[in-house]
Amino acid sequence: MTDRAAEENTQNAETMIRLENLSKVFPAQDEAAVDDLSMEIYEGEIVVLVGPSGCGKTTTMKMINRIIEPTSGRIFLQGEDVTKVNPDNLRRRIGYVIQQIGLFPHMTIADNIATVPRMLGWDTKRTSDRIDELLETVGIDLSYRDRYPKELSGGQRQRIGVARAMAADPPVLLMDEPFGAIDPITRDRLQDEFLRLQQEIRKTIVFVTHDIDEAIKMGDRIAILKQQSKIAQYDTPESILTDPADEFVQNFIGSGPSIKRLSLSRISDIETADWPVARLTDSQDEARNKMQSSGKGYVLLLDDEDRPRRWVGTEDIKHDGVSLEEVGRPAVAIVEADSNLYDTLDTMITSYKGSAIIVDEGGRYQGVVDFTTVLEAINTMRPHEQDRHMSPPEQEQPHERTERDPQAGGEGDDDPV
Amino acid sequence: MSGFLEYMSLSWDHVLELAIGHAIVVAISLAIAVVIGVTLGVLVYRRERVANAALVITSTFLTIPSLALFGIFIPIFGLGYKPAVVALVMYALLPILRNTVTGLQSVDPAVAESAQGMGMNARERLLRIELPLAWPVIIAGVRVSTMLLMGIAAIAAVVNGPGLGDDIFAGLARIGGANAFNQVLGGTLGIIVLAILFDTFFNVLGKLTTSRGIRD
Amino acid sequence: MTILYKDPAKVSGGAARLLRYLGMPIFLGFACLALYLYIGSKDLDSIERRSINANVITARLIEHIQLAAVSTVIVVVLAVGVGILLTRPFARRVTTPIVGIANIGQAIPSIGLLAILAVVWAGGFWPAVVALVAYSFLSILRNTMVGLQQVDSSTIEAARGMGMTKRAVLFRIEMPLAVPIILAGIRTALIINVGTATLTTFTGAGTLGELINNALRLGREDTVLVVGSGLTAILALFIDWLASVAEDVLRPKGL
Repeated sequence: MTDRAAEENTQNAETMIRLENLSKVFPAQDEAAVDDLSMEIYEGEIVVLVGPSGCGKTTTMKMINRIIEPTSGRIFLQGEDVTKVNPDNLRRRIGYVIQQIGLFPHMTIADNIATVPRMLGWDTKRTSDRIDELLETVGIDLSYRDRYPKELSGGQRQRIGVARAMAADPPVLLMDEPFGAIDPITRDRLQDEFLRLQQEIRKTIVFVTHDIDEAIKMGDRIAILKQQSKIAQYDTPESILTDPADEFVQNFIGSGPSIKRLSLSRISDIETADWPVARLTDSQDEARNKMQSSGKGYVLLLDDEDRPRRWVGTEDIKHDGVSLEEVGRPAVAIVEADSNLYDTLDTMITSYKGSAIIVDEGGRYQGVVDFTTVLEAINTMRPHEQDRHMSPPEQEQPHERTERDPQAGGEGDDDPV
Repeated sequence: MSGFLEYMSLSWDHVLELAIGHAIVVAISLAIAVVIGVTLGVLVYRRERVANAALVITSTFLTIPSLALFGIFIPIFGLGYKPAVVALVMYALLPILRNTVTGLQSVDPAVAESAQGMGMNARERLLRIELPLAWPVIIAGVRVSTMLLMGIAAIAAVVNGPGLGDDIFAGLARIGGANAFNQVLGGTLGIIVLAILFDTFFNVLGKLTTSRGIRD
Repeated sequence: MTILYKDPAKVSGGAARLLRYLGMPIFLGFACLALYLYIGSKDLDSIERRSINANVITARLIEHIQLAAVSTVIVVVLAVGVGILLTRPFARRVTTPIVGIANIGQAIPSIGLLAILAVVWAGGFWPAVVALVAYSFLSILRNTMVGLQQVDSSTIEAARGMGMTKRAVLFRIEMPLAVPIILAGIRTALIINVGTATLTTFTGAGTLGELINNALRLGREDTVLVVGSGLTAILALFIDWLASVAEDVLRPKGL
């Protein structure tokens, strides 16, 4: 299958953050909000803290930069015990993004981003260059430098919030439901962009969310927390989905864990079937010949640019001299080569015969996938995963979440499929 | 009407002198009240009980009629400038204090938290985030106090304080006399004009010193 | 639905509330006692004895209360009435210029108004009433308008949606919800008027201010002035306290 950062880290991981017996008791309450939590967060990973409301996940995250001071326990950042150091200095080394974003309304975008660099004493040129760099990275036009937060949309503000958190290039980012206050469409896009960004910058990120699907999508590792932040399971998304530790985790994952598991795999990971193809300009006879020689009852018609246009079946061939363009039905179930299996299945269900056509970025025909193919892939997936639980991978692989990289295809994949 | 205009052209210097005196005593008292009020507001806005106590005490000052307050201070300060300024400062405190506290308390908690999360210490947060954001509200309080003081300063004349109240009381004392009406009208109009001037000044000052990002 | 006015000294809890209610009158009681003892300890000359005996004080007190009460009743009726009118939809266009005038009107000094009326018309009770009403009118008007405008528009929409007429909405929804604001306005008017009433001594309407005025004219700072100022302050604080208690008691439940 494919390798993940988490996978490889278990071997030679640098621990970026270590929480040791962390507890928090709020004065007004009897029960601890966080009870004796210990965990290690490895460098370059996105660790998602997820759990039901009130489980203490946000409190836990806020103890890392001591916005909330722990009642007991210790926090280590890059090996250094930071439990008692000056909190303001600590926080300048950690990026912090909250749900409501909290951009300073009375400052321009540029001034917002420049806050931490200026506190650290960066000179004007360095700060200004960094602002431009960050605006480009998060996809905001440079002309927005001198605008004010009130002039930006919610999605834009969220991007600036992330840019501001990264301004001084901290090794760690804390994000508390950063995409929570955004509409689902923008949120999806921001999540994708963020994952692409993370491939470049490789920060250590602690991410809090209540949405298990977001956790699965974003996390290299997920910590499912119960009440009082007790860890139910702390593992990679695949492991959690295929091997939930207990009933709590199962319930939390919700329905269809196996289907959710599919969203973590790409079409490019599985072998697709080949289907007979013909051209729109071919004659009906030629089409029928292709069908017969391949033994399949259907042929896919491509246009001059190799784009799939119509399905034609044996029963549509009538020898009445009508051009193929008017025979059969249009091909609608089309997916791109980098789609995940979950979306592919979704598309397949809407198709006529339960198959989806795979195209590349230019829309050109690559292959066809149907339920049989997917089933085979799923079957090959599972034993592989069980193997991974038991034995470590044999060699070092570069930090690459190859599934997110459309060009990767089967690269870095050392297992036969 | 023509009588009044004639009076004004004759007594212009006199009225102007009184007006300047009026303006100065109000300005001085405002300045002192702003320093005390804003400082106090900054000190107490995080502590609800203390803030409430301060607000109750300063609102008590406002409840006491101005003549009585001036009167109370005479045995202590004597007549003249001092009791006037002390009383005026006490009157101006409540609006400024209350608006400082409200303004600081109504800073968006997300903004305050993100500032803290970025590593700003309390002093930096106050000076660079909270006060600038509370500023429009504080200025509004200053404007309210200004209006208050303009009227009350007129009473200061009773305690031999400065200002246009002098003319008003002089006119009152000479009811039926030649210039009574003119003096009273002149004094009153002078105060109104001063009030509008000061208010406009603070209005413009407020707009200039408020970041564009938070101006409505 | 939110009510803007908030008493900063609100403390919850039965015992604490009782203490808060009683705090001011107890304090005022002590202040009276202190004044009494203070004066008792002094040797008063004949002028002083004529200025601060029980009869005189009582007479001035009654004048003061009468003036303040009458003015407050009139101004509340006028300002609330106009306030209601100005917050109706048909008056929307007039609202902004009126508010603008109100702001300028704030600048008119109370003593100036009193003096002009005295010179132009006459001194005494009724001109003083007119002056007091004129002076406090704008504040109460603004309070009422703010209060009425604050009544949550979705509440009104729900009421209209249930079939209530505009008049019914006004009397059964808006006014009850605006009561706290209006009560606050009444309280403000009372305070303003008690204060301004003190000044009417200069236009011949008497009141406790006369004690202060006499003291200043006759140079009796240690005695008459203290009593006059002290009593005026105590009266003002007492009426304010009464009004705040009434406000709490009369506030509709649930707000």
